[in-house]
Amino acid sequence: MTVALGDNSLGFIIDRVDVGILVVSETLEVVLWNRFMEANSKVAAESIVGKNLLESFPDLPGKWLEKKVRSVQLLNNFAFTSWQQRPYLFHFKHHRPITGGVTHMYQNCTFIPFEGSTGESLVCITLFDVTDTAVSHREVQQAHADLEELSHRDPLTGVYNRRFMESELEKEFTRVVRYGGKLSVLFLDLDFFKKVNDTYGHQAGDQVLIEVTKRISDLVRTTDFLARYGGEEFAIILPETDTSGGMIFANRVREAIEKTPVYHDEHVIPVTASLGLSEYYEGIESYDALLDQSDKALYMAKKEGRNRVVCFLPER
Amino acid sequence: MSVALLIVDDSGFSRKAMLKSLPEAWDVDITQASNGEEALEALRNGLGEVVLLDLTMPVLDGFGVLEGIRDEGLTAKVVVVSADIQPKARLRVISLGALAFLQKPFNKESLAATLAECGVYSEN
Amino acid sequence: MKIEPLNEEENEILQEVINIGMGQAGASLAKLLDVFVNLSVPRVSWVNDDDFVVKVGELVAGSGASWAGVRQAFYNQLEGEAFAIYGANGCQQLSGLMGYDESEGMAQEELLLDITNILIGACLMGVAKQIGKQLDFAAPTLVGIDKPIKELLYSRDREWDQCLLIEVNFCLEEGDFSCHLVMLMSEASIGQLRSGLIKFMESY
Repeated sequence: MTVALGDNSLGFIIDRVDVGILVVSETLEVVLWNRFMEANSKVAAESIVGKNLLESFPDLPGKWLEKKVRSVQLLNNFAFTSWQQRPYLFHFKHHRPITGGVTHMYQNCTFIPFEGSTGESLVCITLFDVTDTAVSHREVQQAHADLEELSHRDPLTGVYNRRFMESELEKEFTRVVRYGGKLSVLFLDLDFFKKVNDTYGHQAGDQVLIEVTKRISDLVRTTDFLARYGGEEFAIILPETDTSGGMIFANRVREAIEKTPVYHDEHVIPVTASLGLSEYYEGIESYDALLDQSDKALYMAKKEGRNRVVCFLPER
Repeated sequence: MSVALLIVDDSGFSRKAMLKSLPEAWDVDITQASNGEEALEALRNGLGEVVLLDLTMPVLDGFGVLEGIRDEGLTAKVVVVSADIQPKARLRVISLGALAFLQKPFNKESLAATLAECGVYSEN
Repeated sequence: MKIEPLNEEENEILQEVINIGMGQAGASLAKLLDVFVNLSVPRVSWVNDDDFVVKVGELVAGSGASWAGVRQAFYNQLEGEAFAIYGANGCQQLSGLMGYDESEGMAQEELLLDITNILIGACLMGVAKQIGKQLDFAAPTLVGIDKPIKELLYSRDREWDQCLLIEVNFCLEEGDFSCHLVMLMSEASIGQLRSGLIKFMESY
């Protein structure tokens, strides 16, 4: 680098650039403290130059900082810190608007070893305010998480969709095969749903679905997994449950659906559902086979008159 | 009487560089080896009174060669020439019987100085 | 523009230059951890953007398993990106050697970044110094912990069609720690690399 400017100009630039610049000796004695550091720390250069950095800032991670400075001098190499692993070095206030949602300035730092004019070992530490980056990053992460959640959900009822449910079932299935335990799957299909749509209109049909979902949700445990499997069909994964436990749950659900009609505009719509239940037993090759069993049971429930629960009995 | 010099390095370029940097007046009979196995074979055939030995090589590395020399009771004056400059490597090769360690990158001067230091060859 | 890959002589010189750079990186690591570091023989190849992930998988010997990766870009007269790829157990061992508390997740991440910075810095600066070129580094970034190689190397928009791939690896004599450094030098700086290698050769 060819230096065309004199010392005064360089000093001015160092002071005014929008980056924290400080220089410390091997023993962490402060040799340079620029305006950014003064303004953000409220510590003037006159009161800190010549003093030990850690004495003026006891909250700094002292041991870590000493190690860092020493290693950079020993290996004669730059070092970096990132806000992602270490949110800040100096605890400064941020300059975002009050609605920022953050509590402090996020910083990226560089440690640069060099030799002073009398051959002494010095380290220049630069501090970049990356609060905006950190906040944007967080917002993007949140948006991604939201998007991911959305792709797993059924837009109308808000419960999980079929695709996500099958991937969850596959996980549960693998777990039970490997470690043992119980697992049941319950299918639920609303009776004469097409007729509801034809008689009362699609909006009424939607309302029925939403209402039924709510009633089932109120009864499922936190470990159970409720999903909308098809137009008027729901599936519920019941981990750690066998058919006797499953039957109790299924009948509760059936009753909750039948007991009260669904109200939409001025209509009173009676609703019932057919349910098919089956459980995992050793020998089932895949989660598909398990779904198939529950489906067969559901079919029987419809055939035997609807508004009932049928349990699949494996032919042994 | 010429000295049997064995140059061991997997890099052809490095061996060439070594050749170019040898003291001009040194009367040597040169054999080259590109890995530790070849080196030990050459030594068994008496082709290495003095050995310039790289450490990082495939098949058998420099440490392996030093161990081989020790185990088979071969005689050789070994100068290790390597980029592996960690202090423990230096100590290790000396304890395995090497006379000196020459750091890469080397040049004519540093090679001559090392050869003189361990009494292998000096220009006067 | 299609760049000619390095010829045999240039390759040989490059290998030796990397050997020197690697020795410096190994010495830094040895100094830091006070252990003996085993150095590998550098491997150099010329790859397309299509098959470089596969190539790296071969070099690291395990494209399926899980690894931690750190990426660091370099620029100025030589430009490209470098990856440090660590085996899963290695990270824990490293933490132990450095006296870090294992429960501190962030400390382990920071350690990986620091070690990577030291290794890549020493190795590439070693290379740059031998061939008389200027080099600067961006800050290292963590690209994944416990991921397959493919995911660690993933980038939506790489600008090169072909590049020089250099691989070296370090492993500690005791224990599990191993680190593969994979350096990709883009077509853009091959010209600079060549001129530097020739200068190095002529110094002998």
